[in-house]
Amino acid sequence: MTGIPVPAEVQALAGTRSGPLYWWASYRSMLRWELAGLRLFLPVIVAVEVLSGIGFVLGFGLFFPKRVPVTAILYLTTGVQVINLYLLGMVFGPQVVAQQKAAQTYDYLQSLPVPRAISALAWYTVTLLAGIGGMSASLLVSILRFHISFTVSPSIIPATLLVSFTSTLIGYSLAHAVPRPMVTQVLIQALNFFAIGFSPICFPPERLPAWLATLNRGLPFEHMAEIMRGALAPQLVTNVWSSYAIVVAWACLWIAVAAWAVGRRG
Amino acid sequence: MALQIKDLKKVYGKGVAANDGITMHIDAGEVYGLLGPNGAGKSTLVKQVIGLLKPTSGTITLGPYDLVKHPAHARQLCSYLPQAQMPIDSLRAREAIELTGMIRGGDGPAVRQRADHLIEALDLGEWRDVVGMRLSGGVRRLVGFAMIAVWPGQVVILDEPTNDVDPLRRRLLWDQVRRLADEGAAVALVTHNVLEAEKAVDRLAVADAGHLLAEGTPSSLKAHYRGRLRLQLMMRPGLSVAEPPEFIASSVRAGHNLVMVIEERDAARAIGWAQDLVDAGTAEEYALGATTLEDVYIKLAGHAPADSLTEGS
Repeated sequence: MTGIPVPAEVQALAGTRSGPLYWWASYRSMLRWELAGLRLFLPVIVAVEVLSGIGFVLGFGLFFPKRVPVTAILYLTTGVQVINLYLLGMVFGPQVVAQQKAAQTYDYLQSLPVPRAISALAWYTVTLLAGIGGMSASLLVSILRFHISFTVSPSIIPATLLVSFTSTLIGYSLAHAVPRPMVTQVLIQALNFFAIGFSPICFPPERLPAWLATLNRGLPFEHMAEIMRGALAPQLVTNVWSSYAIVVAWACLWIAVAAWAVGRRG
Repeated sequence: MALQIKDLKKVYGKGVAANDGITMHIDAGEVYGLLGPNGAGKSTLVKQVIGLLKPTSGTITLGPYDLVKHPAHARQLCSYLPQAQMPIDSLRAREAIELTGMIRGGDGPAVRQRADHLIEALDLGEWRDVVGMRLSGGVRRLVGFAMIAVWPGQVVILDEPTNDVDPLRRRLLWDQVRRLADEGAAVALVTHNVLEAEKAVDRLAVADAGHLLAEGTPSSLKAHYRGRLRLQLMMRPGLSVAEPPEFIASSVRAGHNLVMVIEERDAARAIGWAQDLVDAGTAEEYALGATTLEDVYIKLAGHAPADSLTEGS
């Protein structure tokens, strides 16, 4: 019972920490915390992601007759990557936060001495890692099922990072901004309904009524699909940079919402 | 560094003042008890200290740090053990303690060493590598405490730390709480358990309806009761005392217990009266003893704390 070493903080009555070393140490430890905390749950999430990635490709493929135009297949198979990453980002964070609120551990986790942005970054890393498996599986199944080849460019990396980042931020922000998880779920369901049903992610925007196509041009969903197509099937995209700009702008907006949501004190 | 709270007021949206002009301080090296019934404003006060709520007015400082202005500093300088269990379902006990120590800024070897000592000191060795979801409530609570104590802030806030913990390990836990204070932390103990708090704290405050009703050392708060005794009757279910005798200074009913305060000179009469009630079958048993902090609490807060009457009386 004796001889417990006294931490320097208490012994020296030290002040606060700051700077890049603190951020890096915080990121590492929070990432470890998140991964260890999801140890039982994360494999299930990855498995579901892989299965849904495969399922989307095979299931959506049933919409088409036997002889499908290559363009349609490319729209479908590139769009599915976005749907997978988008749904994971939108749903995973709010689910975990809802669980924390139900178990009354939310306040404790918010009281941890980690910069809010670093905490969000650690969460984004977890979501990204969970999403990559599903994305890889659905790409592979797309190739096997439809006998197509993608023109994979290095921009697959920023495209994946940005799509996952923006989606994760939207889910993360809503989870923290809305006090009642039930309301968060309703909002997210509504967004998902619009994004998957009425945004040109798996098909060209010309299929939509003109007003809906115009509306979508200002929203991030179509542009997420465009930047993914820019990385996998660039022949389908005319101006990928403007899509990057629009998605980055939306990401910045959601960064602001997230910063407000986690930084505000009631 | 001392935690200083001055004229703290927190009014929620509907105009309810959860804290209404609270002024208090906790010195480094001190264990300070914050007692009060549900709705007293304890949680609101704690959340303001740790930077999760913004006061409507008033100040909270820790040495040179303004914790209201800089909530990020508050989170770095304060460690908080919530009343709910820690989120460690998937984490092994030792892993949870170490990881929290690192999140709090400890470096690996020192955190590991300290985690090992805490596991030993709290007698948690057999659960060292057991995941949280397989731990009993009491063991999980102790692991939660170790997660706080492994690399504590300058202020350590413990909300009902002994909930579900067995009596033997409670003693070990209180030893470690004292050790935290000895190491220089200002320890705030938030509890309903008055009898435990009486033994553990250096000073305490009783809060109700957003105010601090009284503050001082346990003995100074009990000074009013010198020369008085507590008589506790355990009534048969459904029965009550129709008319207490005139020598009963005050009484309060909590469940089947009737807790009364009497003057020492009336002890013999009180015993006779209580024995008559037992003989008549109105009461099952009685106990006469020194007044405790609980009697002070009952007087101040107007009712008995939910979980303490059955202990130590």
